[in-house]
Amino acid sequence: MAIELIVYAAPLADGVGLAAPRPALDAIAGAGRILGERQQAVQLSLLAPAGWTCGDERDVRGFYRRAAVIATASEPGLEGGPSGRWHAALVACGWLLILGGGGSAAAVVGGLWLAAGYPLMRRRVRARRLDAVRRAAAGLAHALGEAPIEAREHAGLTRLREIAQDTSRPPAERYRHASAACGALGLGGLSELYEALGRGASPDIPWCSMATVEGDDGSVRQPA
Amino acid sequence: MELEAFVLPLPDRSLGVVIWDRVRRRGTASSLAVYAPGELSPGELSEVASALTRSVGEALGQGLTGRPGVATLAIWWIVAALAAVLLAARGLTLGPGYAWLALLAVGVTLPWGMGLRALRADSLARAARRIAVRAGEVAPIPGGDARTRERLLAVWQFARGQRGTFEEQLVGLERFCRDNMWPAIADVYADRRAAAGGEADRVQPRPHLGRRAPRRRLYAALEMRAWRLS
Repeated sequence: MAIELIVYAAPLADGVGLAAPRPALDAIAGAGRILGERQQAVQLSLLAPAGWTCGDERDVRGFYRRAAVIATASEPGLEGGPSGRWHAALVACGWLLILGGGGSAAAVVGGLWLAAGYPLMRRRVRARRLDAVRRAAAGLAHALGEAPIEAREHAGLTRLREIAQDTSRPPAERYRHASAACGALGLGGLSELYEALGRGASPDIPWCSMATVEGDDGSVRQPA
Repeated sequence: MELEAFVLPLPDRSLGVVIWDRVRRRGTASSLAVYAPGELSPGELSEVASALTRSVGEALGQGLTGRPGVATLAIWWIVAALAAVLLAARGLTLGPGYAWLALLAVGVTLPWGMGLRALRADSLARAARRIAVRAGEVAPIPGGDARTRERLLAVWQFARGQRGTFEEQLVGLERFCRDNMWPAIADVYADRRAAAGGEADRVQPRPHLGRRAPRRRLYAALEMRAWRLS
């Protein structure tokens, strides 16, 4: 029992490619937030066609790290509010009000807020936000370094392998066919990958191609 | 903690849904029982579990984690508003231009975007936190309750006889679930209908259809494969 982080081993014409479509990236980012709440067991589940086994774990772990970096790169910072020169100008304005307010209580209160109160609140919020992001990142880093990797058979990917490795068609056509089939196979996130490969372009989702070898029993695996 | 997930029919495909706002607590064991019209591969079960992780993580991200607490927010609003009013009143003695300048200068220091909406998001995050602290104990397994399975298959049987456009079919499915006392799933179809054409695989509020205030149903959703039932 563990939080499962999934990545797809998408069948290609000449092997398998690891891919992390948007939902998988969002799940990795979500897992980071969950781990920031409380450290828990994590498992790296590699969804793959039937018979595919993961050989060298270093490449897979490296890909998970890359996906985690992309997934968490968009973590929001402190939204809104003046920053940089504007913030400095407000603080200076606060000091001017305190020093040159002419003994007016309103000017002193306003000045104190701008010179001290607001910067203090802002610092507290930033510290809390950074702490949350740091805890999530630490949780993910720990998990990705040590979590077990397991290949899990996915019925849709098994069907995609038949399409992608159908030698009666040229590779570009196979990819176009695979892209069209993704939706009905419950793999809509991979459609973009195959569509780009069919065009001969580089996909926008994180992916990497892995070489594979066929075992004596007919199973396909990555070379150790 | 016992969670339930359902693979529901959609025109030409299916929708995996994990409802996580109502969690049954029986003993110490945790599980995610997945009910589907047929056997799911281990990878598909992992996808359902991953959808739950994504949804709970997103809800956590919307909350006040890393934002000021409710008390700090209240102090912030009160003190900054007081400073703005006092300075504006003082500025008014010099002329309306100075009053506007004072309001603008202090107004930008107010925590805009961290008001009531943030508090509502925080209540969502609190619900998510209850699941998050035990998320690592939840393993997806095929659902074993015969009655629930029968209920799901009835929806699938109804879906098979459906005709018409995508939206009409969703309306039919929603009505069928409401007539059969399954409001949670009817709400899912209502959300799906509201978001038809857009992405609906996130936590979403139910559209306000009646006079009663809409209750927010919390669930994770993912599109799954098409099923051919005999």
